[in-house]
Amino acid sequence: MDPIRTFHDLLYGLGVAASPENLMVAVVGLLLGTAIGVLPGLGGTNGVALLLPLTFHLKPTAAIILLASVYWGAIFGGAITSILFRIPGEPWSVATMFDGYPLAKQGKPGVALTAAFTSSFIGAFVAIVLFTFFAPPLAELALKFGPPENFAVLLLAFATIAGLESGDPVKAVLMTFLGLLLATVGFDIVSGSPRMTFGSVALQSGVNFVIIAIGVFGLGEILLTVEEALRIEGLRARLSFRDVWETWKMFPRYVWTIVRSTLLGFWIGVLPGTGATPASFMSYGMARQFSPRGSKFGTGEVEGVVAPETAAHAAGVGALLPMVTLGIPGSPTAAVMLAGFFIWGLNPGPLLFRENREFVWGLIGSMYLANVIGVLIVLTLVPAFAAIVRIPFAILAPLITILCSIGAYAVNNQVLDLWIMLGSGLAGYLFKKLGYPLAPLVVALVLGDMTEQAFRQSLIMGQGSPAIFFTRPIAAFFLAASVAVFLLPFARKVVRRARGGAVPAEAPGTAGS
Amino acid sequence: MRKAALAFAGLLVAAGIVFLGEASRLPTGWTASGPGPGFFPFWLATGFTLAGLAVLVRTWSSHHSPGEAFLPGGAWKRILVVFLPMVGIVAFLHYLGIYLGGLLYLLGYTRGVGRHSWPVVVAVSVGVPLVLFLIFERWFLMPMPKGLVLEWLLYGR
Amino acid sequence: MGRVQKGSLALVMVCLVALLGSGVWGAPAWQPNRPVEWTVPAGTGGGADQQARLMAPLIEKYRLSPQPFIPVNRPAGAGAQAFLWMIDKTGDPHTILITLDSLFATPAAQVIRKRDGSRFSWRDLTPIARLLLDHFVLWVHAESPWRTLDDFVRAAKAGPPGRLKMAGTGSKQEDEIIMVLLEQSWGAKFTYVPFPGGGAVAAALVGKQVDFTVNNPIEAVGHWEAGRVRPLAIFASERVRVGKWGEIPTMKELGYPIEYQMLRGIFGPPQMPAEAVAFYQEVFRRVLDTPEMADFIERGAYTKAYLTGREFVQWLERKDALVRNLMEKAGWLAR
Repeated sequence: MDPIRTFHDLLYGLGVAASPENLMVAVVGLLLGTAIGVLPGLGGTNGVALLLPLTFHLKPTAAIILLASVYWGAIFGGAITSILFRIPGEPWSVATMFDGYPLAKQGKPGVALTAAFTSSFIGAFVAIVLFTFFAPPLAELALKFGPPENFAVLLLAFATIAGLESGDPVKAVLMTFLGLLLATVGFDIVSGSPRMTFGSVALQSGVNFVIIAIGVFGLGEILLTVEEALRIEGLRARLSFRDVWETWKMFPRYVWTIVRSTLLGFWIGVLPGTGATPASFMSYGMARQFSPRGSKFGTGEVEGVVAPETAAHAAGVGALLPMVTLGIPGSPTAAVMLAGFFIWGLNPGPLLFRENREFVWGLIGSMYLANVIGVLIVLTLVPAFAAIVRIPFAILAPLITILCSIGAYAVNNQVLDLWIMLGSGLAGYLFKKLGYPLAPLVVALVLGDMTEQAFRQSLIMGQGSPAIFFTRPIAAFFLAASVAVFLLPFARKVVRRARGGAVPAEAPGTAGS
Repeated sequence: MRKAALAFAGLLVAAGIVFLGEASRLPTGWTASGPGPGFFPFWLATGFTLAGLAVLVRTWSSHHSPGEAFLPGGAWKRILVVFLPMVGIVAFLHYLGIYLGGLLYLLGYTRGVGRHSWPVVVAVSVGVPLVLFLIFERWFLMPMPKGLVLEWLLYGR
Repeated sequence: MGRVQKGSLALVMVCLVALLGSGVWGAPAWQPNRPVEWTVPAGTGGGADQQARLMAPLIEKYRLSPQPFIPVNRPAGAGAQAFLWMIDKTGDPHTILITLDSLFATPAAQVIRKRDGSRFSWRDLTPIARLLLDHFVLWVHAESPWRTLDDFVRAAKAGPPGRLKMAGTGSKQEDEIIMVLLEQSWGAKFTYVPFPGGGAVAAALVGKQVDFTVNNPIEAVGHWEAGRVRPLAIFASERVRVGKWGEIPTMKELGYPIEYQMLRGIFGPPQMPAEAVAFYQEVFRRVLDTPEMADFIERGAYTKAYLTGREFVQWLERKDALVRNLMEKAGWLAR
């Protein structure tokens, strides 16, 4: 790839994206996307699918800009309810809750929101630059990742998040088992038959991670609040733009976290078969391991918001890369966008770059502009979002419950999911009361079925022999890396002990519990 | 507190055994091309049950804070007031739908628990479902369960 | 006042007559009075979803229906959830279903029980129309040594059983059924690696994770144009004479009488009123004639195959017998 040529193309793309029509389309898309991202259970996929019919009346370039802007907006918006109410607006904002919600509870929702939006923006922006200059070779590399490589990467994700919990280890193990077990429920695509469904057809859609997260975190939190005697008043929170400025002053401290999270998130996003959610958890886990304040994670550390948000938004950019360069959907949202390509009369695939220069470079140009406009919009709204927590609890609680129900229903369009949400709400309340950590449950649930599927696909490919994990260099590398990362905390303890220092007692930083 | 912890751990063990039962109906072995569909469910359920037993034993043998109550006085009442209506609405979703159910829930909660003034109560409990209806049914075209009552009101029959 | 009302009434009548006369909505006896819920028995982004999301806005654009058609995904259990949803909507004229071959394969591979305990079959549903037939093409990597089907067959027979790997969508569904057809015909044995969707399957071939696939044309066309994959044969009854697709020989003409096409059709719930069936038949007949669909049909090498009534049911019976027969031989039938 000739960088000068690329730069030239990029300028052209920016020009396309900056046309008044396209700019307007981007703003509309961002606002809609943010609103959709705020609603729990509804995500970019819904938003893009909903707007697809409208794109008939637009030119292809404006159409893709509209859909992409909805997508960016949804990524920005996902963090809002996670931080304010401990309800994940999007799957990847679950990790954002771990520190974002404690911050909001301490009366600093503005700080948490600013940190989330700003790091989202930085992650996306850097990822877009990488996208612009390295898209084709990265796509080639991603194709080398088959099931064995995906399995090894997912194992690395598990390794980085292991030890996220510093409470009762037996209970953490129990919750991990529960999460993995729930992940096996549903229609098993490898054997082509339902399993662990107790004969229920509705359960064949599986136990959805977002629904469980809405239940155990969001509803569970409402029940806890109610138990601790009802707060008629809303939270007291400072609302001013000073929060924005003060949060920004902290950012230079997190430069390494941001760099690490961006690269990690972008690459995990490019890989088809993983996605933004594992990226956000991995990034959170790594930040916790590497940060000097790692033991404080889970109690309201700004860095604990920065890491997952950076990675999630970078992964969101990465997921579009295989779509644009190869015509392969990197995520369900990308799959719906690809359906749009046919509506607009375009052939997705490697030739798109050559044949539809305006379209491709217009899209890339709009990524830059949409993210700049997007972050400006959401940052201006920070005081308004933060003000939501001032709404009296007796109005907020039923309102949140109704929104959660709509979101939970929308996931699979079935009523059973509402029961699952209610059940997990009650369970989440009891778990929390009795000291069972919740983070291992959701992490295991979201990674579980992907990991098992990749594992079984790999063994089928290797005709039953696990040698396939070691004979393929990339898989072997990531396997070794995950073993190393898994042993890292123990190694540190050993080193400290050898130096004669006492092992510092772990602070009870119980992430997300 | 201790009794509740023991009961809950016991419940988890029981759930583990139910999972084990369901998992054993599948091929749990290791086939020529890797694990069968029941392999992971079976061993995960085993692990879960054992971990549950371990928690049970540890809770049994721990002796501190026996006097603490599981719930502060009257708390269970407040929790049921929030939770039971949710259950009721999902149970009657077929008739009420999400919008009318939401209306009733908001009405009951803002008035009964929040003791807000009637204008606020009515504005919130009518306004919110109405806005949601417009958003999902009219603009987003995402059909939600509307319930027999609302469908009858909207379309007749 | 009375005169004004009379006048406006007359105006409305004139408009109505004009509307009916112009045939904007085809003027059938029945029309939907609320949005039509269009269930897709698969996830977002798959083939069936793609088609529903393409046709739904076309119906609006060409004003084929006074009410919008809203695709709703019910992906659980390879279609089982969607089928039971349709059963629950018995008699409802505002609910339709787009189908793929899971309509035959899923109820055969698992026992789907209706509320009354009896077993679900596609015969419970009301057939509306067959729209398209989707083809299957045998694809290998462009850098593979197999230039013709004969090369491939020789390689398949030569190696130890299971040496050649095929990626496919799901398990015990159309892709694996076709693989079993090939195995039976050639006396070979392949390794089947299931993936969650057609896009991932094509990517696995392009990334050389597997040796071949039977991707639908639309899933692989981009890679073909970029020179990354090579088609060896198509499982159609005759060559698909659209654009460059005509270059691909059929299995039959190469000496292997293997044919397989996937149904893209529309069904209603049990006991759908006949007037509603007529309305949807008209809508979809017209959708197929829009220029956008013509374009889509060409790019995806689909065969336009609009069919209704008794002939459609006969076709469905033949197709069902074929799928069941194959699944029985493979030992996948659930009792």
